Amino acid sequence: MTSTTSSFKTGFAEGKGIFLWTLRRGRGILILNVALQFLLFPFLTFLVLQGARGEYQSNTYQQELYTLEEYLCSSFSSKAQAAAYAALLLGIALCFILCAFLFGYLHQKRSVDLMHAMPVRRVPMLLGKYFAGLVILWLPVIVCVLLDFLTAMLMGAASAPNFPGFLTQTLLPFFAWDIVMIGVCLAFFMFFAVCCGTLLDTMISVVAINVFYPMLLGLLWSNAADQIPGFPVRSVGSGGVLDILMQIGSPLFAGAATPMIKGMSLLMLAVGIVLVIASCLLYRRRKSECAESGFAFPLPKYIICFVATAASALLAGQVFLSVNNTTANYFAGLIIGSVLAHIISEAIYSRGFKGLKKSFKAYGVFAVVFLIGYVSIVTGFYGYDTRIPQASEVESVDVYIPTGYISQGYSDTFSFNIQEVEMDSDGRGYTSVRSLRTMEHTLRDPESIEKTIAFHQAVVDQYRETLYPYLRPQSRYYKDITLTYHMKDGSEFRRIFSSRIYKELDGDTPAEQRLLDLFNLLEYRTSGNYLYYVEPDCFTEIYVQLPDTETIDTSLVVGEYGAAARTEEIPRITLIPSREQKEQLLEAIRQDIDEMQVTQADLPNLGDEIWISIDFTNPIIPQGEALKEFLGDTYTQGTRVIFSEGFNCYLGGNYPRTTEVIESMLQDVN
Amino acid sequence: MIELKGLTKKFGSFTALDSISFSVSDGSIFGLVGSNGAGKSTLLRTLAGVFRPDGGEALIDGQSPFENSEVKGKCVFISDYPYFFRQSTLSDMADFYRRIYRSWNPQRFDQLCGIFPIDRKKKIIEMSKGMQRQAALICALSTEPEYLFMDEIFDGLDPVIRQLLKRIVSGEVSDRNMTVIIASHNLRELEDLCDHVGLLHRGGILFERELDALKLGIHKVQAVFQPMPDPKDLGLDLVTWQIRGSLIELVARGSQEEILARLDGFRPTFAEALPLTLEEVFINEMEAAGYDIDNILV
Repeated sequence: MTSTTSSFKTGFAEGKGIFLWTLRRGRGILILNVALQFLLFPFLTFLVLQGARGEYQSNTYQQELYTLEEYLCSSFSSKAQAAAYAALLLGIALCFILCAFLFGYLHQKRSVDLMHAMPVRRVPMLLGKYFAGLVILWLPVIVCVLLDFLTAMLMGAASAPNFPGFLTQTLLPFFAWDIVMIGVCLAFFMFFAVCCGTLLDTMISVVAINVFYPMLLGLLWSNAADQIPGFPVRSVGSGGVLDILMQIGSPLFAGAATPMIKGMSLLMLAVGIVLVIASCLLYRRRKSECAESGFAFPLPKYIICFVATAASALLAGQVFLSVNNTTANYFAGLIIGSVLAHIISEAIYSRGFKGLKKSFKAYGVFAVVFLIGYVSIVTGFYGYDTRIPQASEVESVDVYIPTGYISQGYSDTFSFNIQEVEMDSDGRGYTSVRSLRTMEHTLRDPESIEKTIAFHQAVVDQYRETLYPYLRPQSRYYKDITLTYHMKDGSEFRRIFSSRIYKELDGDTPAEQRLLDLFNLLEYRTSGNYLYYVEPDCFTEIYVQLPDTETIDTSLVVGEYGAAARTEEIPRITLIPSREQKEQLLEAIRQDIDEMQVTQADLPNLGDEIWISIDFTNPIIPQGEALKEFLGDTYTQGTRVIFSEGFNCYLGGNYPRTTEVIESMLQDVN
Repeated sequence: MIELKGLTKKFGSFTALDSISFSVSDGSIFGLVGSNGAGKSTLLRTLAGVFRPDGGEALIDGQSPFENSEVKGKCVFISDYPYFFRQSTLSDMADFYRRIYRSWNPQRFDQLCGIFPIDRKKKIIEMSKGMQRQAALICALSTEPEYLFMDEIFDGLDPVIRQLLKRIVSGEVSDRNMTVIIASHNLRELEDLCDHVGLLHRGGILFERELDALKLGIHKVQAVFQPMPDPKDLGLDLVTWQIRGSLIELVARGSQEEILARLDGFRPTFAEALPLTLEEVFINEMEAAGYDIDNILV
C-alpha cells in the first residue's frame, strides 16, 4: 500500500512537471483559443443583443408579442446554441493542432530519445500532456461561456421568466456535451498517436476512421433495411441506435455531424475514459524504436483498412446498382470497390506499393468476413425476416399503415400530434409549441392482434415469394408499414415493411385481403383516431365546398421578367357553428366512422360530393376524460393544447349522418 | 555501478545486442568503441531507459532503468543528434530540465554558460551542430548526474571545446565520482579521457579492459638487423611484425625491457621502443583475434 501510494505521489509529481511545462509551451495556442472563444461568445452576444434591442424598439409587432426581456432571451438562446456548435467545431479543429503539439514527440526518434530518457514514467508523461491539452481546450470555453452569461445578464436577456428553464434544459446540457466531446476527441487523437509510428499515419487514421466508420454503419444499415424484410430504416441524425454507434466509434464525426442525444454525454464520457486508459496501457508497451516506422500496434491499421474497404465496397455496390439495377452489377460494385479501397489504403499506409502482394492476405480475411455477413443478410439474417410473435405473447400492437384505400374518404393521418402551446401576452395567438403525444393505432383486443399477425404473416410470405434470396438492396421498396408489438414480458418487437410488395401485384393478394380485415376492425378505426379525442372548442369554423362549384379567377400576377400566373379560387362557405352544432357534428362523424365499411373500391366521383374542412388548431384546455386520459402525465394542468391536423373529407355514402348535420347547418345559414 | 548481464536487444529479426555482459565501476570513464552498426547507440539507449531489453539485464545500482524514474533521475543521456523543442532557447531547455530533474543545479548552469561560448537567448535550432552539442552538454551537466551517457559527443566540437569537455568531465568524475560512458569512433579523443574501453562488434563485446592494462602489456619496437633474423626465432610473443629491408617493426606482448633485452641478443644495429596509440592497440588486438580490421573500425 505504501509503495503504491508513494508510486502514485511520484507519478503525480512527474506528471505535474510535464503538465506545467506543456502548458507553458502551449500558451500561444491557449491565447488563440481564448481570443476565438471570446469572439464566439461574449463579443457576439453583445452584438446580437444590441441589434435585437434596436430591432425590438423599432418593431411594434414584436412589442405586441413579447416583452423586451423575452425578445432578448429568445435572441440570446438562438445565438448561444449556434455558438455552442461552433465552439465544438473549433475544439475539434484545435485537436488536430494539439495532437501534433502534444504527442508529436512519439513520432521522431530524436524526441523519443530525449523524452524517454527523462526521469518521468510513460503514463505520467502521457497524462501530463493530455491534461495540459484539456486545459488549453476547455479553459477558454468555460471562461468565455461564463462571460457570455454575464453579458446576457447585464443586457437584460436573463431577466426573462423562461431564461432559467432555457439555461438548465437546453444551454447547459449543450455545453456539457461540448466539453465532453472535445475531451473525447483529444483522447481519440492520443490513442492513435500511441498506436501509430508517425504523425502522418496518426492523422490519416483519425480522419479515415471518422469518415469510413460512420459511412460503413450507415451503408450497412441502409443495405440491411433495403434487403432484409422488416429491418427498420434509420437515418443519421434521428437520434437512434445508429447515431449512438456512430458517436461511440467516431467522435469527431459525432461532434460535427450528429445531434446531441439525451444521456449521450455520460456514455461518451465513459468512452473517453476508456480511450485514456487504453492509451496509457498501450503506451507502456510501446517500443521506442517504433518512432518513424509504420505502426507501433498493427491492429488499428487492420481495423481501419477493413472498415474503409467494407464501406467502399458497399458504396460502390450502391453506385453500380443505381446505374443498372441487377445483381451482377451489384456484385461487380462490391468487388471493384473493395479491391480499389484495399490497394489505395495499403499504398497510403505503406507509402507505396512494395508490400501490396503480401497485403492481399489481409484482403482475403476481409473477403471471407464480408462474405459471411453478406450470406447472413441474403438468407434473411438468421430468421429475422420470418420471425412473428405469437398472439398469446402480445399485450398490444401499434399499427402504422398508409391509407391505401381511401374509400373511407378522409386521410387517416397516422402519427397525429397533440401539442402544448404557450399563449402570447394578448391571449390571441400562441408562441412556443411542445409536442405531447403522437396518436397511433394501438390495438389491444385479441381479435385485433390476431388479424394484425395474419396481415404480418401475409406480408412476410409475399416477400419470400417475390424477393428471396435477398441478393441486393431494393431501395424502391420504400418502407411505409410499421408493426410494433408490445409483448407481455415488457419487451418490444418491431418490423417495418413496404406496402409495394403487395400493391404492385395484380389482383387481390392475401396481404391486401388481410389488410382490409384490419381496416374494418372497429378498434382499428377508432384507436389513435384524433376524431375521437377532439372537443367542440377545438374548432371555430367549418369550411364547406358544395358539389359542382366552378373555380373563379381571382387575380393575374405578372412576374419580374414578364411571366404571368393566374390564381384561382374555389368558392367555399364558412360556417360558424354553435357549440351544440359542433357537438352534433363530432358525434355524427364518429358514428359514421364506427359503421363504415372499408373496401378496395375506387371512390365515387368526388366532385359530386360535399367537401368539408375543419381546422382543430384552436387552443383549448382539455375538458373531456378521453383526451385527458390520453395525454396523461405529458400534460401540464392549466395549459392549452392544439391538434396538429384537421379533418378534410368528401362526404359521400360513408358519411350519411355527417352530411345531414352539414346540410342542416347550411339551411340555417340560407 | 553499471552491470550488463547477458543483455540482448533485437529490432525485428535483427539482433543489435547479443548477450552482452560487462560492468562499469562508479567513478570510471568507459569508452565504447565499434564500427557503424555495432550496437553502441543501442547499448547507450538501453542504459538510458529508452529501449526495453529483449533479454538479459541492464542494471544501474542494481535496478533496471526502463520505466524507473528513480534510476533515470541519476542519469542523463546525450544522443548523437540531441533533440531540442521547436523554437526553444537554451534558457527554455534549462527550464524543462529544471522541472524534470530534482538534482538540477542553477548555479552550475550559470557557471557552465559562462564557460561555454553560448548565447542562452538564441534559438538552438539556429546554432551550428557543435554549439547544439554544447547546449546539450550544459543542460546535461547542470543536472549533476551520477551517470552520464554520451553518444558521439566529440562530433562537431572544435579542438578547444573538446579539451574543455574533457577537463569538465574529468573534474566531475573526480569531484562527484560521476560515471561516464562515451560511445565514439574517435579513439584519439577517448585515449585522453577514458580509463576503460570496450569494443563492440556486430552486437557483441569483443573485449573490455582497463586502458592502462591494455597499453602496458603490449609494445611496438623498431629495429635494424644485418642480416635480418627470422622473427620467429626472436623468442618474443609476437602480435604482428613487418619487415622492410633491414628494418623490422614488430609488436609484441610483454614489458618493454624484456622485449628490448631479447632483441639485444641478436645484436641489432638499432632498436627503439615506440609508443602505441589506442588505435594501434585495437588494430593489433583485432588482427590477433582474427578479425579483418578494415571491416571493424572504419
